[in-house]
Amino acid sequence: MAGKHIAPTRTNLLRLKGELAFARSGYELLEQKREILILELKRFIARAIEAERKADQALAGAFEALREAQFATGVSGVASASRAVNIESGLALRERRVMGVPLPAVELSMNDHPPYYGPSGTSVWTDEAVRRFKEALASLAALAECRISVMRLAQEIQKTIRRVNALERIFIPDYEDSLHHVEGALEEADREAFFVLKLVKDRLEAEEK
Amino acid sequence: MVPFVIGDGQTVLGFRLVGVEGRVASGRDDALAALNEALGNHEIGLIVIPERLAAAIREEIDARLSDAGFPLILEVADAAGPMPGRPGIEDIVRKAVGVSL
Repeated sequence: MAGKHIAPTRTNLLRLKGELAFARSGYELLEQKREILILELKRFIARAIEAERKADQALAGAFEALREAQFATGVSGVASASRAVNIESGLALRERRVMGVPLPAVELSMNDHPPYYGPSGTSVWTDEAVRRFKEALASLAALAECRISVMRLAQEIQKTIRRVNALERIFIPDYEDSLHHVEGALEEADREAFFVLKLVKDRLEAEEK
Repeated sequence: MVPFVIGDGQTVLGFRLVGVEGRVASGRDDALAALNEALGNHEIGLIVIPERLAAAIREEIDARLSDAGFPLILEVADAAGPMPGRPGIEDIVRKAVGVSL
């Protein structure tokens, strides 16, 4: 479709050949990128599914214990316990890049300084809630790493597939069409020039006789 | 760096039990203000936000997904359990690759 608008000159022929070669090498590179990203994604999937299941389960258990604690000591009882608890949660975060996609690594550390509160005014459910929320937090750190990696890889794969498809189905066929058109027109012009030369030569010979 | 919670009262309270600071927010404006504040705090490396609240600021959260660096934003279930119809890992993969791996 674009081929019809290009002037059939040798300069354009050379330019089109260059652009087609460029599009083809771009296509190959993007294909490789897509494959590497999919391999990387595969490494995460099983771990991510497991992390998601664990996190949902841990959170459900944690909220259950929290509700029980609130039943036992009242909402304010748990709130005051939350102010007494002395745990420092720290994160060590790193990042590595695969084909330009930033993949996070999350490491959680919890520094615990028990006991936080006297036995009066709290319930075993408060202790249980603390224990289960610790578990939940640990499972969320693992989930953050996996889920965000999977989402970023998936997003980049989608982008790459779109680009591969655009090159394969639109740009490369377009360049091939244009090239074909220009080549054909140039050959036609060559034949015409040859024919004119031959005509002139025949006439000159006829005049000499 | 530290984790941080933006969410409903139960979620914030629960994580406060294990020493994670948080801010209670409900509704879009509130959540957005909390998110921007958390993003401006360079000590925060991970923002945990319940799915139901995240849905109110979906665009702002999705826009940050592909950005390198921290904080990360993680959506989680709240006290009412996982939100029905949320995309699981398998859905995300299927959507990207077209097949399940």
